[in-house]
Amino acid sequence: MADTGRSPRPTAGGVRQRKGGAAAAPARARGGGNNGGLWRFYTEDSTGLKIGPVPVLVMSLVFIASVFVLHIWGKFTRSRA
Amino acid sequence: MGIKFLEFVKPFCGFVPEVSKPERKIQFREKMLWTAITLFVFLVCCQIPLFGIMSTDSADPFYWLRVIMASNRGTLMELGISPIVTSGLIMQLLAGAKIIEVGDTPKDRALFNGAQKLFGMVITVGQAIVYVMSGLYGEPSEIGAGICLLIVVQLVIAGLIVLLLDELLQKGYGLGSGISLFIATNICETIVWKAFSPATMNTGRGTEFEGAVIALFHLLATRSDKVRALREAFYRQNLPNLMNLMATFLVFAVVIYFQGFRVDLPIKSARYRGQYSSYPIKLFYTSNIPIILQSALVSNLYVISQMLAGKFGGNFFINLLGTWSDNSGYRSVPVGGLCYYLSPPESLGHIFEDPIHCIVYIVFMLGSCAFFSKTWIDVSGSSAKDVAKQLKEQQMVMRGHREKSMIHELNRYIPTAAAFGGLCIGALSVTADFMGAIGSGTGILLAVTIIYQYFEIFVKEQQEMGGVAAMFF
Repeated sequence: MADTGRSPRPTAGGVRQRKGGAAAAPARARGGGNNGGLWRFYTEDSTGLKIGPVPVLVMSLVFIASVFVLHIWGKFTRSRA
Repeated sequence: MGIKFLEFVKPFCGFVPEVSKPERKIQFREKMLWTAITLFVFLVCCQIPLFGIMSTDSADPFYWLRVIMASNRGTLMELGISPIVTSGLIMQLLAGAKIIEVGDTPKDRALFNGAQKLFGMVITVGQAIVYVMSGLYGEPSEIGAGICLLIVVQLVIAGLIVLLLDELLQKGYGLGSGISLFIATNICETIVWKAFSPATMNTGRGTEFEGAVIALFHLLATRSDKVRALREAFYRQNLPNLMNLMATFLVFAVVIYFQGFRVDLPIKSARYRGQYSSYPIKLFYTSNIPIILQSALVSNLYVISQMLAGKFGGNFFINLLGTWSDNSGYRSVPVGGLCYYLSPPESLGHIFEDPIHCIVYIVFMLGSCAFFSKTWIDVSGSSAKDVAKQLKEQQMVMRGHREKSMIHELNRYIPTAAAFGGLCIGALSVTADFMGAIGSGTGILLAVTIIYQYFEIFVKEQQEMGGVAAMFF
């Protein structure tokens, strides 16, 4: 049991070391192609309506709030009917 | 024809809302904040039920899509990220097959991205209308036209918000991308819920807790025969047991161990003598892409087969594609036809009952993952030619090779790594399914690879900032 507990540790350390070395290397910067598999669809600016991050947040909160209000309103009209 | 298509959509792209790029460098703490806010909005949307739906208790035809599409039934996140992924997938494949020509200029790329988003919006509207009209939330005539319209509007706005949140993270306000964040959150939520769920169920041998860990303590405390209680907690069939949980953690560990496998190609600078470094080619060169593509393909097949089976049951060709049973209540299970052979076996015991099913499933998983992995490197621009071009732009050459032979040398490694890596991913997913890991083998693999990517982002940010302490203070 103790043996199995010990064996992963050196490998993990080795992995980390190698990674550190590679990340420090100048050739690490890869272009748009393989970003470690993360989906990158819209990294470049396109030509749409520009909005900042805060309006996006406000918009989503307003949307959530309005659905809430709809639910409450729905409860009222249903109980009256 | 290709160029014409992008020119054709150009006037419409002006209407697509878009998050502007940050003008200053966003600090790590601020990125964390934006990521947390995005996650919060997503999780809230996952809980709020849609206004106006009548019922959601019919068998769920999209059960198989939910894991990879981060969607939740009957809530604002009904569509999840499926419009974004579908539109991205189709557009990238079309561009890869040179049906849509995309030039190398930034303007062309921007137009392509705009078209992708526009297409995503169109898919959102289409899907919302199909969902409502197909009676997923009750008969459209009973709901009424006004409420139907309201449901469609809710789904479309929710889709738009997901699209913008995803873009917000990708443009550099946050970490990673919204899509992977949402998928990983959904799967981790499932795992934690299955482990610690306090919901109780009546199983015939008395009330049992759904959560595996909670059930262990509950069984140990209430049953008089402790050995049998332990056996029950480890091996019970109908609810998540401790073996499932342990299998999940084992798969986590194995995938992370495999992430470290790579071949380092020695390269040197062509300009400065003595500047040496290495270019790593990972075993999981394409990471979780083959799994996403493979499961997108299979789940679409399932949905089509289920719809056809519902409309024209009995038909010979439809039965060949798949026959479905609603026995388990909340989801349909394939019991025959092609879909049955492509679905994972339910348990280890099932392998001996129907070995052909098992063999077909394994061959299909491994083959399709390897195939998708190999095609993806060409489509996504990470093939040997593209890597050689990148290295050349950075003025790096491989040690002991001329520029010409570099492509040849890279070609020895990259397609092999991609195909073999895809094969390994497929094999891991099959193993996880056989061991009964929680949240399906595909789901676990997606979650682990995404978490590992986030870990890599953290390490990179940390090196830029100079230490963990500098990141937060």
